[in-house]
Amino acid sequence: MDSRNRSTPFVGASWRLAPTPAIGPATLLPSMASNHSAGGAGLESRIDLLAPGAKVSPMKTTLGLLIAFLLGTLPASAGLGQTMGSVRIDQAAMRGKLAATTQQGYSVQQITAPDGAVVKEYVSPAGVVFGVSWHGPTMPNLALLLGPYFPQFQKAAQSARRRRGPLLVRTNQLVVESGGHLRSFRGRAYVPALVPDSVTQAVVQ
Amino acid sequence: MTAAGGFTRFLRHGWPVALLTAGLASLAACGGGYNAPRSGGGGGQPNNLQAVQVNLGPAGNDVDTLLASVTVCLPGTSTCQIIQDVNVDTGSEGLRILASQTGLHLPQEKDASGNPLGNCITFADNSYIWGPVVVADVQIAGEQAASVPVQIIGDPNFATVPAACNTGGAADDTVTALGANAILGVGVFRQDCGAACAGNAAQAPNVYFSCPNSGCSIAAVPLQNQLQNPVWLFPQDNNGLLLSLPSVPATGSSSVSGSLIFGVGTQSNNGLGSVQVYTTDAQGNFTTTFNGTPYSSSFIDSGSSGFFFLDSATTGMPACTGGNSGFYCPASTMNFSATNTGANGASAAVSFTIANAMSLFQSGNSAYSNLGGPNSGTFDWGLAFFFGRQVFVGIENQNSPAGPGPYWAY
Repeated sequence: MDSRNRSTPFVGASWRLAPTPAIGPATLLPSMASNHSAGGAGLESRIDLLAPGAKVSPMKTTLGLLIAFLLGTLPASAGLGQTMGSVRIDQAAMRGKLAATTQQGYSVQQITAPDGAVVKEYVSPAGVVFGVSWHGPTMPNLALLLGPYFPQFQKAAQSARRRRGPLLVRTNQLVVESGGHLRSFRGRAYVPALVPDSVTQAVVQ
Repeated sequence: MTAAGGFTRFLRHGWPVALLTAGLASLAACGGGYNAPRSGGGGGQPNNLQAVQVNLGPAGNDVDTLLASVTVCLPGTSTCQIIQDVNVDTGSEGLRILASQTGLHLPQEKDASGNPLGNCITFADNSYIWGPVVVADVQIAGEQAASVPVQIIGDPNFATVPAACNTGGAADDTVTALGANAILGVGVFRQDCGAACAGNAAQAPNVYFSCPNSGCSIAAVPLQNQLQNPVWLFPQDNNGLLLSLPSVPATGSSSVSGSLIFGVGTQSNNGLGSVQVYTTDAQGNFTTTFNGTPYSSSFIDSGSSGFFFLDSATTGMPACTGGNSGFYCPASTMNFSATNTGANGASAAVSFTIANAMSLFQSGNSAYSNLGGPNSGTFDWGLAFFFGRQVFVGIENQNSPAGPGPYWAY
């Protein structure tokens, strides 16, 4: 598609990290998660008015552990649903500095880019990224931050009638809120099923 | 003479501007061009008022989209083209024209190594714009800025979009996708990126790209070579602008006409009067407080359609369904009040009303002052806010009777 750019070092560092095809979490995760959403037809294109804090699945801890296990054996892309170690991939792509803080029931990996952009990745005790947030002068690479959930986001985003405004995507599995203007963007995304039981989605800020 | 000065401005900083000398002779005759009368010299003040419209737009299905016509010319010549239906956007900076909508072959801007420059902008909805940076004289009403870096969107003759720009969003490279033939970014800043893109390439964000044949890579670009808000480059009336739109009925209007007036306090038609001035922070934001909670990343944006604020849980309004899920659909019209506070401490409440968007859209109208939608954790005061108001934009580092920008005043 864009063979002209493959010799560019920075570009190469990020484009290889697009959601992985065929095998690995990119395909495993969404289909697994769909198993516990009732009436899953048209899953990816459906936009539900799910409350952000809704607990989608009582099985989510189990699911998270299972995902962590799978990810341990299939190291892959970065972003939502991935391991804490994957944060390093995002850090490299952003050419940023990494700082970690531990909160009650989760930890926050904060990446600060040279241009002042900040990405925070919220990691569960099981070691899975359950939420991300961002603010900065440009939009972050959402393909990277949403990881295997990015195709869902793309599909839902395309159905919106509006142009160049803020964007809110809520599917059964994913919530993305994105807003701002040139030089000031902010937003967050999380996977309700991966949010640890002891915290709420509100911690993703 | 104007043109010579403009090119000197670039060359002085060591950034050559490539002229398409081979094509110049035939340009005046090509389809998109015409010979415009050159203004100036006559004394008196220039016409600073450009008519603007709100209608369904060139794509035929847009709402609350503010449009104007803008003239672009080959630098230093009278070979010009009028671009109709240009979206007037106070939420961005720079003129960006769809490649399909210009017949002028505007000269490519190049970096110090002679490589063509590209520009990439990703919007909050993750859609993006990609294309070359070219140079044009820009005329709006009677105002003219010489040798302005502008962008051509989706130029098929330019380098394909780099992966660092296209991260999987939709390309806004057609009239249908853009909802306009071009975007005129006239926000509170002088440039689209500013200092963050002017340092060194290793730290610059993915906005400017140097594009040799081997492929595009992120580049640092000096401020004066970045896309410019053309207003601050006008010889006069260059400290900001005023958007003046009439009120619309609760059911909306099929079309609205208003004024885009350049300058703040520079002529008899752009005095500040009794408006309140709200300075912004370095990111172009102020604080909006709702029900006692301050939201510090709030802003005014004529390029957004409605009032985009908070979420269903906070406002008590459900989102609409299906393709309109980006709007609120309350069972009955709801009244709200929120308080805007500038970085200068100026503060006042704004009352506004949100109607059911699906009901509004059934009218087939294009202009609504009561359209709203969710925008978690912040307020985006879109075009719906502008109806029945005079809204001033103060450009950064430009002096005015209200002090230097960046600010909004209304």
